[in-house]
Amino acid sequence: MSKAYLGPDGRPRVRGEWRGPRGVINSAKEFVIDSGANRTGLVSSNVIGHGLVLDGIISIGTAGRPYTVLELSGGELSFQASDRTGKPAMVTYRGTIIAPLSQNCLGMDALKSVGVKLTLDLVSGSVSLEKS
Amino acid sequence: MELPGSILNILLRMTLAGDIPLKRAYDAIRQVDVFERDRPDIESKYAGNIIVVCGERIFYGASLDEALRKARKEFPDRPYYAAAIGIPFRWRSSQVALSGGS
Repeated sequence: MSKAYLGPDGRPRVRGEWRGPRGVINSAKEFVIDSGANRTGLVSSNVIGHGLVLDGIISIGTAGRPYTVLELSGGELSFQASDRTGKPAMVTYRGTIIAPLSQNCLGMDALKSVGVKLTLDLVSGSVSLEKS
Repeated sequence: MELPGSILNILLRMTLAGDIPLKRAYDAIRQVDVFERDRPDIESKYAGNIIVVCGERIFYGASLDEALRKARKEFPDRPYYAAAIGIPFRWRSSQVALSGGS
């Protein structure tokens, strides 16, 4: 598992291991870390056949931009952060996710849940996920 | 709002894959039907709120968390349908809208 990094579009990313109740399904999937997103979500191919539980259907769009997602539970997402000394520390988010999104997204709900802070230095191009 | 084909497609594929029991998928879709059936009434009564349809009943709040908390007291394990009525969607009362949705 690698540390967080900047993608070609300048958005921070991290590779994570996504597990459904049926075990390890998707290792080293790339997640965009979106500090403006309240929810963590996945593309549809990462949720089908994993044994996830359907919690509900949510219409999150406005009248001019309808968008509907499923809320699913039972999965786990592990990714690498660092502790306060800079040593690598694996963290695991266990909570609901939404799908389908156009790309896998690690949102603030997951970062808050596991006590990880995103620091982005656009000048040096460095990204860090630090466990508090 | 009718359910988009992409959502129906995922529900069908998850059902066929054995992720979701058919009864549960039907129950979730049924809540969307209830919303559509009662939509004019819901839109006039609950404007400015997030509503959750669960167990064919309407629950509301300033955020999804609040509306869902009320629904979960009555129906702890049934699937739901949630929508914002005339306002941007709010996951939590302390937060504004989801950025993106794409």
